[in-house]
Amino acid sequence: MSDRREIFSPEARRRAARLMAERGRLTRNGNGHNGNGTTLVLDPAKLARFEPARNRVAGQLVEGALPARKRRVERREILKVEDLAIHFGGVHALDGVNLAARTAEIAGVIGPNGAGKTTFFNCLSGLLTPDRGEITFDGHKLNGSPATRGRHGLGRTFQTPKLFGTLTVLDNLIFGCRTADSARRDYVFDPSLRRISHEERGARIARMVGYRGDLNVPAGSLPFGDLRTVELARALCGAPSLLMLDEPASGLDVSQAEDFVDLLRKLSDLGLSILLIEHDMSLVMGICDYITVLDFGQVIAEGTPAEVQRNEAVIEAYLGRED
Amino acid sequence: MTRRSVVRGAGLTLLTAFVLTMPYAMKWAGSAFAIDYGVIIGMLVLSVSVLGWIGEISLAPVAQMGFGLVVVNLCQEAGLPFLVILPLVVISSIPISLLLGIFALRLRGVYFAIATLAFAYTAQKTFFQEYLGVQGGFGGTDSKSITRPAGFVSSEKFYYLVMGSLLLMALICALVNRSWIGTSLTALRHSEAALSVLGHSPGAYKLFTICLSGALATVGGAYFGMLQGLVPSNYFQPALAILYFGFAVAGGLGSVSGAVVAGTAFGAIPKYFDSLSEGKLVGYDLFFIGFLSLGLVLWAPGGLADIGRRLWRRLEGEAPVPRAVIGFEEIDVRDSAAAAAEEGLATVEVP
Repeated sequence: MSDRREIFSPEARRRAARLMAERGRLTRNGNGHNGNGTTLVLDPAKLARFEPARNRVAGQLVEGALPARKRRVERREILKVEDLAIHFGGVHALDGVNLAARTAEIAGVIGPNGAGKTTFFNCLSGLLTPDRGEITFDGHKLNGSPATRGRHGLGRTFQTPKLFGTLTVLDNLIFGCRTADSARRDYVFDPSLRRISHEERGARIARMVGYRGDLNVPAGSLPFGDLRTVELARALCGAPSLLMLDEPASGLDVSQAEDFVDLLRKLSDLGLSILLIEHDMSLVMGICDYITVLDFGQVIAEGTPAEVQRNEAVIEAYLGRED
Repeated sequence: MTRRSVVRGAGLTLLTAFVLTMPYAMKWAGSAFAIDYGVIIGMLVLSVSVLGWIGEISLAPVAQMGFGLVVVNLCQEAGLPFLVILPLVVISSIPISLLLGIFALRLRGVYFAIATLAFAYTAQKTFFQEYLGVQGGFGGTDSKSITRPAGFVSSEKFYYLVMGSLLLMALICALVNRSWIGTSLTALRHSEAALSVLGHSPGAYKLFTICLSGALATVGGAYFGMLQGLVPSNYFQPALAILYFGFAVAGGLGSVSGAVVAGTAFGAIPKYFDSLSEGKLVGYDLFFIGFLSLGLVLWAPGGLADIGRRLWRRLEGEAPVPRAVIGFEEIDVRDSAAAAAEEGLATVEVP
């Protein structure tokens, strides 16, 4: 049998291997699944590519902006979700979801399509009002409009990047910077950013996340990979304490995905709390400290990546079992 | 001197001369009343166009216009001078605008438009019919008409007052549009959700824009009262708002200069048309205006503003305007094999 760690259908493995060999690129949904719970491809080579990020010292990976020295960061619970529920008609999109996130950690939320992952993010960011449940963020009950939550340090990106297309990249970033200043928020990952102008700050954060293009072009003209990185930069410009990323690696090529993983790990090491929805199992298993698995709006498993991969319920509902 | 500065200088001079001499230069076509009327319609159309900044359509400007007229009447009865009346008119527009703003916070698009139409009909059927009556009375047979400010009694002189006000309104709108507020409104049109999670309140921007639009319409109504003297309630038929919306589209929705030009031209032309035809074609004016607007929108979907921009660039000897990025189309590439192929990414069909 192969040296792959997980169970997958032979046909899917053949196709993925063929396409990856042909293109030499990361497959967009090659590690995902189709929602039927039939396949999972966890390539050890890819896992190995992502895993070293855990052990690297902050400051070595990304040029320029981030502090080179790892700071001592306090690990504490920043987000606590209890009994969160919301329904749309007869569909219980979320039903009694509990979750906790800590500072300087990356928490993953995974599950089949329609499991309620994005709905969960929308409830956290205030775009949807849950039927019941309690969200505690940074020691306070989290309620109010999305804008209020954004000002309290809850940043997010979207499954489909939502940049302001006719505005320039820099203008997009300045929106975040203005919030950080008006809400008097410090940048967890680099407190020195507060002291520089919006323009300079936006440019530094854009370079930090790996955007190398022109800051003065309309955001709508960017290729998809850059849309992702600029949206991430915009969220970081808002000086969040908790960054929620909805499928941030989809559409990124191999080198972008590797840089992205390194960046996330580094930001986390510097104290930023990250909550991640992602279908790329190699990425999730490679960088997350803790994973929560949703299915039909309920938490079916949680734990470290190794625990989740062994969990029978997760294999049954999401990862899939070999024929 | 560059060609650009020469063209700009000449253009500005011609425009200034045209604006200053309009009531007299157009005497051959009719009295200055027509252009006064057009300028006031320009205010209304600007009010509608401004709402395009938040991507909404309001059919209430005519009702807001009516409230302006009522406020002027009350203030004149109280003997207040014009310079006090005008700020009061602006302030009085705020409660009505906030009321409409509540709709805007809850409703969007066609639902908001219908809500504003309902508001306009309610105001017309209750308040205006009761207050203005069929004679524009402010008190039946004892009606006292609204008067024009001292020094601006003749239609020609009144033109300079309303045109000055319209240009001031346009300047304020242009400055707002170029400020950070304008940038935020652009962002709001792209994605309200993205703007809000970034910590900016879309509601505040919406309320501001609705208040600005309401102030323009209410001041327009105040001037309308001064122009007409006695205004019956049927002058505030809510359906007229649809016509003004059409003018705003023909001018280029969201464009300040387009709204000013389209409103003034489409407001004044029917009056001149009536005058030139000696009243024989009264009733057909809106038909011709509708026909003209339709042709304009079909020919140049960006309206007069777009035509003006292209013409200006050509005069300045610059390259044609590159195709603008109109909005940001949200594409979920995960569902698009073609998009993936373009980026050289493989897609795998998982069985």
